[in-house]
Amino acid sequence: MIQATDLSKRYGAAGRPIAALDRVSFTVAAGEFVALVGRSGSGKTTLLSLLAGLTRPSQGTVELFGQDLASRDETALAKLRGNTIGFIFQFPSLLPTLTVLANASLPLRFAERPEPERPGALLEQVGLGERIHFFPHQLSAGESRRVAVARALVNRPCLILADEPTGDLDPETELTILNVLLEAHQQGATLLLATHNPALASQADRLIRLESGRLLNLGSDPKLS
Amino acid sequence: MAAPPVFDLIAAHLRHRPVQSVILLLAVAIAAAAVFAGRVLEQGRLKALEQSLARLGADLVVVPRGLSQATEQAILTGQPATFTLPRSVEAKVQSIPGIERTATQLFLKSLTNAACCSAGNLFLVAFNPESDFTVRPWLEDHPDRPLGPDEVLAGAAMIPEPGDTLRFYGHTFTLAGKLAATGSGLDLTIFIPREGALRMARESAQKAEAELKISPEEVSAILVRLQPEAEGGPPAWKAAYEIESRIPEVSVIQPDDLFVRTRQNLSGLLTLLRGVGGSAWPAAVLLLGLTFALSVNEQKREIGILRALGGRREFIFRLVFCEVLALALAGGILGLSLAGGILLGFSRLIAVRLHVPWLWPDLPALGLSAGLAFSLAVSAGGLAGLLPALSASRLEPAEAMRRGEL
Amino acid sequence: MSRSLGLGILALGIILYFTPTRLFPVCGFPLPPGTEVGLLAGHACYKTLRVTQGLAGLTFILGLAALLWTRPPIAWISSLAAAGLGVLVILTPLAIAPVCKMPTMPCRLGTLPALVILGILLLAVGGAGTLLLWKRHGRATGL
Repeated sequence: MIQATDLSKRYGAAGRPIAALDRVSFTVAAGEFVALVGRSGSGKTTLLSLLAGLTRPSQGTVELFGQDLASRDETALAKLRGNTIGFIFQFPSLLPTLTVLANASLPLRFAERPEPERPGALLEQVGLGERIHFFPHQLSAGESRRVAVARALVNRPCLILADEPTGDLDPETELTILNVLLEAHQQGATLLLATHNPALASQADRLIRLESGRLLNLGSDPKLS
Repeated sequence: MAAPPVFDLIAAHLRHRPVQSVILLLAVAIAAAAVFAGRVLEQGRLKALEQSLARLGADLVVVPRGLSQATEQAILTGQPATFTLPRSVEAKVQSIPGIERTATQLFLKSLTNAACCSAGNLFLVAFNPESDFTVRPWLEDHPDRPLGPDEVLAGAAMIPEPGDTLRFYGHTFTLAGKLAATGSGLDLTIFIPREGALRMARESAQKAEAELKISPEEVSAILVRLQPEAEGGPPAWKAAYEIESRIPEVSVIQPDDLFVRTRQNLSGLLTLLRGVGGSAWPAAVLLLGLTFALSVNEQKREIGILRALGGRREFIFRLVFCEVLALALAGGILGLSLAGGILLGFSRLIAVRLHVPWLWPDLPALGLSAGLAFSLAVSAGGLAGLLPALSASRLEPAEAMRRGEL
Repeated sequence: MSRSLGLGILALGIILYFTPTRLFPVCGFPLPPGTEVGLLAGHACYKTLRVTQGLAGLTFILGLAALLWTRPPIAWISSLAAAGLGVLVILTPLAIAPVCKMPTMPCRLGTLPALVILGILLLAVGGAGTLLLWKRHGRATGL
């Protein structure tokens, strides 16, 4: 499913660039649940962005479904993001001018897929069935995150990239979100989840540990050292 | 529901920022309204003048020296003018080469606050039905209905209808018909056959609250029709010069004089409207462009999220560009509606206050003016939205989201 | 929202009151207060002036009501009534208390179109307010 080879991403001025990622290589098989762990600033968000084609690497390649992302044009990338990848952002990511239902329906609209009942059903699943006409500013942080999760899953993606989906949330909300993600994984989706939470990481098939933009180890040891 | 949400997002954005949207809309509306109103006012003036001069039927109007302005006012606004010159002047005018025919008119004024007149301060014109140019079209349209001496004709804006009776100086007339509209003072004029006017004057000593004295040997104006230039006739300016040279006691009014005077009367307002339109349009472009450039900057994270969810560059371009265009379109419609409404309600007031004849332009001319004003409005949006839309569509999703956090 | 509506209706009421005497005066020049009877009695436009001032007073009261009592039924009813008054304002110079017939009279040239436009504005503001408040009130009460 995913093949990353010598992946690097540098930011900043030409004279003094900062390496957010430095020669990272790994693979993820279809249907795997991989936890991406590391401190803040270790490069988790950058890595997920590269895998989703949201930014281009400074060096190296990313292959998704056997095809190099760099070889895809903008239209193909957009189609890939809309149809096959479900992305859950670390930051609040709902559009403030749209209702909960409209936010959750966005990926379907971009994919031009007529499944009008799906967003409502997912919102029901995450416990927000009665708030579909609310606006984001009327929701709590946890509720907003649940909407974001529903939005990420609305297109039945085969690859879910979740960037700290349960950060700063109460245990109950955390559990709701995790259950939804795990259910999607059990239905065949590949799940790559960045997290600080050891308990969450322990449920993964594998860990990928990042530190200062470098890969530390690849292993199936669920315990964080 | 399954289509990309361009219009949903645009509507949501506009609802989310109502004050900003209204201000931008108004900026465009003012430009469109000023351009439309200016064009319609000018076209209306020209149409009314053409109709008035066609109605007048004369190439030149000869009046006592120094009274051409009063005559122009009477023709343009219906403000009564009363003066006389000897009827013998007509023969002198007819002797000038190039004159095809002449007709005389006598200008009178109804009594104000007098029971013996149906209305006060009305412009009454005594004319000779056989030779007059002004009423000739009506007479030709009603050949089986010759005008009796106690029958009058009225301009289009007069309230009475054919068959109604009118009283002037105690004498009762019947309204035989109304002339077609010209938008000028001719619409507020009563045309009385000369014979009827003379009888009215004779009887006024007994019947009216003030006697009207008319001499059969006096006229107020001599209407002149020249031989066509194609048949060797003189140009109007030359004939006017000849008349004024040979008959020093008269002044001659040419059609051009009316065009110039009305253009002068309207020029102040037109200059204002052109100034407003001319400055409002670039201001609208700048305001729209700057506002949306700032808006794109503020919405970088949102743009990044939309790209991340499957939105293409072309979608982002359309989103920003169509939002600007929507405001410009709405502003154009609002401007045209405002200008149209104000003109519909107040065009007569404007014309009267500025002493300018005015008629609504023909539909094709109106359509052209509306189209031009609307195009200007839309082009303001198009110009203003291009750069912000391009800039927004070129943002890389992750970069946009990162910069949107700052 | 009810407050904005109330302010709008109030403002229109004030403008309406001064339209036939000051803004687009029926005799073509501003009428000092108290001179209307002496100058206009017997003229058709005198009735127009009085009826308009009456309607303006009612509009002002409705605007005040919508401003002070923001509870849905009162604000909603005030808007609806304002829309109705808008219709009456339009009809006043045309049918209820018509202005002078002479086309050059200031009341016909200026006052009539001004009242029609103000009436349309009042109708639009009242109508829009009625619709929006009814939607909001209806949603809140489950109607």
